[in-house]
Amino acid sequence: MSEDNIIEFHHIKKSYVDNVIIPDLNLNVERGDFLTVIGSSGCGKTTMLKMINRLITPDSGEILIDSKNIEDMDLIKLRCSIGYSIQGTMLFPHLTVGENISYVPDLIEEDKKRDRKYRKGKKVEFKRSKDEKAEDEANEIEKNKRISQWLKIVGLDESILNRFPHELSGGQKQRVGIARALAASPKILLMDEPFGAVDEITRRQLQEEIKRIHRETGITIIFVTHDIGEALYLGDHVIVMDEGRINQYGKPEDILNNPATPFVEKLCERTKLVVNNKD
Amino acid sequence: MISELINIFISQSDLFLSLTIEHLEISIIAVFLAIIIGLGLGITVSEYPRNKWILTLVNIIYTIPSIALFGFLIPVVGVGDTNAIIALTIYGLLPMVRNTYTGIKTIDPGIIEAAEGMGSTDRQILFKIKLPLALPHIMSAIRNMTVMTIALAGIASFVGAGGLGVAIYRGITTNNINLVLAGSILITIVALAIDGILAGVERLTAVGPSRKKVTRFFKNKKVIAAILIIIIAIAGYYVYDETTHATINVSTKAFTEQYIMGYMLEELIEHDTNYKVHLTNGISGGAPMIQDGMNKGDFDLHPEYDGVGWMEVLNLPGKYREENKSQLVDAYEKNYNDRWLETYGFENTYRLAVPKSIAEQYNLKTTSDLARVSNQLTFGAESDFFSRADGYDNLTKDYGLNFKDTMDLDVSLKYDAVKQGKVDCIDVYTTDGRIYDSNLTILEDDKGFFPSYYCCSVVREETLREHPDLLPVLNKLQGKISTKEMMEMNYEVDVEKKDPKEVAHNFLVKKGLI
Repeated sequence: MSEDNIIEFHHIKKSYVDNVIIPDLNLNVERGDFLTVIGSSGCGKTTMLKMINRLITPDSGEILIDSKNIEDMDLIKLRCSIGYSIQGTMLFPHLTVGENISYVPDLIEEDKKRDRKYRKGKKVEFKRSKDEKAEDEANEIEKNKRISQWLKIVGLDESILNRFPHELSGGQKQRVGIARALAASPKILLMDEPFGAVDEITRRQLQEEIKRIHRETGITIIFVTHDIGEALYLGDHVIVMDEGRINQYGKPEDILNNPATPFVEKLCERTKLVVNNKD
Repeated sequence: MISELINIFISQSDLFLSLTIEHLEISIIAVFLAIIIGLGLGITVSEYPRNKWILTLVNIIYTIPSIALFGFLIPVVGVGDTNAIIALTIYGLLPMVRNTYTGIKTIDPGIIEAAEGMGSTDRQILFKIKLPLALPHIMSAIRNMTVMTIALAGIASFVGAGGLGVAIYRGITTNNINLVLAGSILITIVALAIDGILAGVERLTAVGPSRKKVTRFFKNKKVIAAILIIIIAIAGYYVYDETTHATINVSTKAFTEQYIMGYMLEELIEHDTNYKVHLTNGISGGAPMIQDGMNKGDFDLHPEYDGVGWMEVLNLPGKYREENKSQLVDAYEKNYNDRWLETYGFENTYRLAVPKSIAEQYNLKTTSDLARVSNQLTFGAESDFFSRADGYDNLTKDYGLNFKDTMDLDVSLKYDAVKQGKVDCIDVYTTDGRIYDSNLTILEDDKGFFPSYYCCSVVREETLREHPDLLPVLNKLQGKISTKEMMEMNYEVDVEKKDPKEVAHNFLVKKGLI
């Protein structure tokens, strides 16, 4: 265990019926890292990602966040503290951009109120106390400030706050999706092929954007993709996965220059040219 | 036709207004219950797959013919509004459950996973994501179900519930097509109007800025308080109304003279006492069903024929005669704790009738006289008469009748047939309004073949005990209505298409009872 590791996987095993998805996964994710995970579909990369916010429970082994076993944490608090962005963004179509972005902060707010009620012994209170009222108002202002701030960070104008998702372009949706995942200032951001459904030009822009956001916020990002070019371009570190096993973990240039297995080598061949041009 | 329709609306506007209000009350309560229960069930089915059998169950119930469902409920809840509301609610469940289920199930699973992964509890996912997204499905279910319920409520009068179906049913039973049309048109108008309102609600709740306004409006504590106050005020009014004015529930069967008697009792009681009368006019299913309602306490009194009570309610053997009255009264007292009052005076029994010309030609006064010449005459009656114990076979045997020919005729065609000379002799009900202008001579039942069918009030003893001032009022009608007078009143309603309520009122005025 190291202070530098934000997430640790210890001997994680997961199978569905007889089909072993992940035989034995061990991994340390460094704090503030931009870790991309690449592999063909069905290689277990999404399963690995979803284990972090406990959407999937491993059969055995343990996952630690900040040296604490996630099984021991409150599920709702755990999930609220981890940003989650998936393919197609999955914005809530019935909520405005503003409401979408403040979704998680609102959940945290409700969670707090639940705790507050619990402290009071579940008595029904018609009136909030003065302090609580002030607290709620302060939170509201704070929330709105944060929403505008996140909009700015993902490069959107405040004028779209009251629009609905169906009124946005593909790129705008992705940005709102990112803003929503970041809105509660999580330490960790999980992204599962977030740019899978947008055109090439928009994707380029979004990649730049997420790199900049990572730089500016220092957040730890785990980014799953099946596009090796994207993985190598974005990642501080890259994991190549195949059949539930980590074939290689390393910096992009290591993956490219010293492929650990034939699978990695094959994967890199076609993109070498592109990446070399980048440098 | 159209002018007659307009006339009906104008002359009976009070009736139609109260029927429309009743119709709305029944429908809205049923719709409201169906929404709440249906939503609950729909959510249960979609959240817990093991509850899917509920969907199958409501599906099966939905296929039960509506008349049958109303009928099934009679032994459980009796007749009246409650029955109708329960049946309509059950019908409304399927569209609600199915659309809630479909609405929730067709949400992109990615959206739900996103919500889950971001830390929503199951409850939050349900209320913040699933239900709002399923809302279009749910709203369209509410619209369909409401229109269906309003239309279906038209049938509810068959189980004694109020509403516009009463007008339709009365129109059918008194052969008044305009009344049927008027009732149907009003049901259509009500259904379309409510559908229009709901379409507006649907637009307001669709995704967009208006939904936000609507939710904010209803989340406002003042608005919630206002709604609560209105509900409490309405409920309070009903409770006040119920408690300050004791209600006497009167029920009648579904034919003209019973409607007239119902209105007569209503007006007389309300005129002489402080009681409110709730009149359930036109119970189908006849005497046993009304007796059932009496036993349950749904009804306090009803006009009944002694011969019917003897045969159809008590199921006693033999022909009922007036000398059996004390036996009948005792049996009712013992079995049902109901009291028979003295007759109103009119008897609605069977007699044979021939055109005046034939009566004069053969000098016919009694049924025995008929035996002499019956081999030259053709007899016509509804098919029922040929199969009854107190019908054709025994009648001809007792009197030694030997008709040349017999003919099965629909009740409504009987009088035309005898007028046109297609038949020479028919059976008639002694109070039938159509006798009035038919030029028929009614033959005396000199051998007393037909049972006695005098009409009397039958009242629950409990009601008489609780409201001792009721009995003198009811006794006022004793012996006041002759068979001929009843026949004339029936004529006014059936042939002249007068409102039975008006006919009843005029009679009470004429007799100086009010």
